[in-house]
Amino acid sequence: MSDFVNSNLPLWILLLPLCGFAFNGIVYPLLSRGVSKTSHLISGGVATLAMLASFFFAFSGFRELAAGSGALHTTVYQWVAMSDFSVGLNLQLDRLSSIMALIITGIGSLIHLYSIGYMSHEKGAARFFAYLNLFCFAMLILVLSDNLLFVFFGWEGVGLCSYLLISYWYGDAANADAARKAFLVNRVGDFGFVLAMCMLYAKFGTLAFSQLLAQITPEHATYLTGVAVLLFFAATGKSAQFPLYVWLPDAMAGPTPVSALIHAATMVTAGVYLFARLHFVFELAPAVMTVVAWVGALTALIGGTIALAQNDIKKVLAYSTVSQLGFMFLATGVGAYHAAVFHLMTHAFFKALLFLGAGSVIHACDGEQDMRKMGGLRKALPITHATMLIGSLAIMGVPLFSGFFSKDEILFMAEAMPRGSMGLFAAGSLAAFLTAIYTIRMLRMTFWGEARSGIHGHESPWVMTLPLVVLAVLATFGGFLGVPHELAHAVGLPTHLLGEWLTPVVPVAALDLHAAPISEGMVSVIATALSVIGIFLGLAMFKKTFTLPSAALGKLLEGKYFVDEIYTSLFVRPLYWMGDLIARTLEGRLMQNLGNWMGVGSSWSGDRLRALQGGDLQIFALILLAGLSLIVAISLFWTNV
Amino acid sequence: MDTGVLLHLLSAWLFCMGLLAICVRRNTLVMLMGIELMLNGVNLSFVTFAHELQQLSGQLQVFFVITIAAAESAVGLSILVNVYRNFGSIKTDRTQTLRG
Repeated sequence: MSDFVNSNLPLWILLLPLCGFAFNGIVYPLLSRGVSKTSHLISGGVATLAMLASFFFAFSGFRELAAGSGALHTTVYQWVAMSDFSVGLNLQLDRLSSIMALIITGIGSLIHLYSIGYMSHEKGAARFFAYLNLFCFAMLILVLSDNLLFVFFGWEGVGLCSYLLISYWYGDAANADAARKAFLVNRVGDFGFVLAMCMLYAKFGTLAFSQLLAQITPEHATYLTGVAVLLFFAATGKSAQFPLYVWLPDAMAGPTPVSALIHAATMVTAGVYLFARLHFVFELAPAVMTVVAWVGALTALIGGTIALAQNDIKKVLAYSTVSQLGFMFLATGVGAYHAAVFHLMTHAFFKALLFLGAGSVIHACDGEQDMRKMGGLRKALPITHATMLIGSLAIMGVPLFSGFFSKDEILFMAEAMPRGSMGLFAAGSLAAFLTAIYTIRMLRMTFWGEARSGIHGHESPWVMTLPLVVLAVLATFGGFLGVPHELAHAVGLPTHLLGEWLTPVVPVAALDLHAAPISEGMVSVIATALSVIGIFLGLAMFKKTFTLPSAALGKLLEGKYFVDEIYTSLFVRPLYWMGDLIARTLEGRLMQNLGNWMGVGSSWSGDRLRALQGGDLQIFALILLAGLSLIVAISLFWTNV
Repeated sequence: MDTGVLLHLLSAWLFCMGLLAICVRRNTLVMLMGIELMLNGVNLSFVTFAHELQQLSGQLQVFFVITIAAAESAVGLSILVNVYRNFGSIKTDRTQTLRG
């Protein structure tokens, strides 16, 4: 399984989005004399075709892997080549990265197609599509690179594109602030990434995954604990985990397709990918992984509760994403990488669907995002309503929809894996229960009941509904890639297709199914019961009103536990204060005076030295003589010593 | 004292006299003559060394120096003619226009 096949396929997957970026970012604006004159049809069409072609290449790469080769390998560019250290842009398409590449390019193309409709009222859509293509390029580098350095390159690249796209409508100061917040919070996490890379290089002298895998032995466990902590820190930033999740809800300031692609389906799952990719590092630090699991569970609960009280449709989905990412971290924490990647995939399907559906609603309501002003949109938006209902059923874990399989697998692993515990299971189940409630609340506020304001939506054009339908199909049937053992044996379906597929790359600890405290089937029953109770509770609770029964609790949740305020007073204010202090003392006194002194000093010494430049030949000759004598004296002195 | 040392002393003397002329005399013509004196001091030194070390290259060098000295005095004298036309004098203390 470890045979490497040289192939150009990974390069093609990468290059097409880059070409799309070059066209939309450089060529097309030049041709049409200014980015504001570009048409959304041409730029969007090219961008979508680039992504579709990239998806085609990703798919043929997937088929080659399925035919038996271990990994497709390309050396694109040798960046640093020293005697004992070399690093370059080497691409490697193995089973894990092919799944990621399929998700990125597949969902990416759907979202690009959708954006043509969504951005149709926009002037200068080429800028948007250029950023979107650049994002896909960076994200593909992240998953295709065979060394940590270029993973970091992609990691920063997606961060940059996220920044550019959140502040796409930069005319509004709030959007620019949100983008800066996302960038800065991510920077905190990236710091951990850089340090982890330094530590790995210092010890092993390489950053390539295959060489790290070959060199790392259990003896390095203590050293690797530090690396694991730092990498986990990096992942909390990018994947919006507690305590660095605060940027993700604000990131909803960007256009909705961006939220779907970057802040739900792909970029925020980079942390999960990193865990799966470096599983051999993390497995040597079990204490860290237990913390990861608990942080994931905590994040799932925080996100789930806050989503209960939000009134902005995208904010609900954003906190829901935070919560689902918490699920993935919970799974990686207990060592169930397959379950995490499985949930990553199904979540990409149904959350992209939900975001695009929300985008369709917002588009129909002319930019209105407040759910309190919606209601009764079911009749006006039949396709959007049907597809979003499917997405909601999937996220709530209603049996046979994709979320059911992936969420149950995570819940089962949370108690069955050696590092799992009943506490993690309980937290996960509670978060799943909350998911059902807030999703029902969102559906009820948006689509059901009577219209609460004069908004009369209109169904979106086919470019927007087609991706919705495709994603709805995926969200419905995607779960059959990971049917649990007991159910599979009962109905004769293949078990854990995705898990089997990933095993050569990401091996997981063997698990005795019968030794688990709660059996797989029982977990499914409990989870289903919880989501059904959640659905009915949600239906009962939000019949007339959309606020929570307890006003104080509602206020706490609507204020997002006031975490932003706490961060403001803990970090932002002191930083401002320090900045002010430095501006007044160091900058205002020292640096400014230093500049003045330099000016005064040179004009004073210039005054003195001017006397020499009198134009007197004799003085010039004397200076020449003195200089010559000095040189002769020095050279004589040095030859003698 | 043998001839070699005497010749070296003479060449050093000629060089220093030339330098002195350049440094103290205000007349540019005399300064040019000082330069010639320095060059000839160096020439003498070259020849002496060539004789002592029995190497022709020193004598060869002298021809170059003589050629350059001729070119230098030609250029220097023509500059002096122009200086005289512009300032009406060739004394260095009359030909200063820089305000130090």
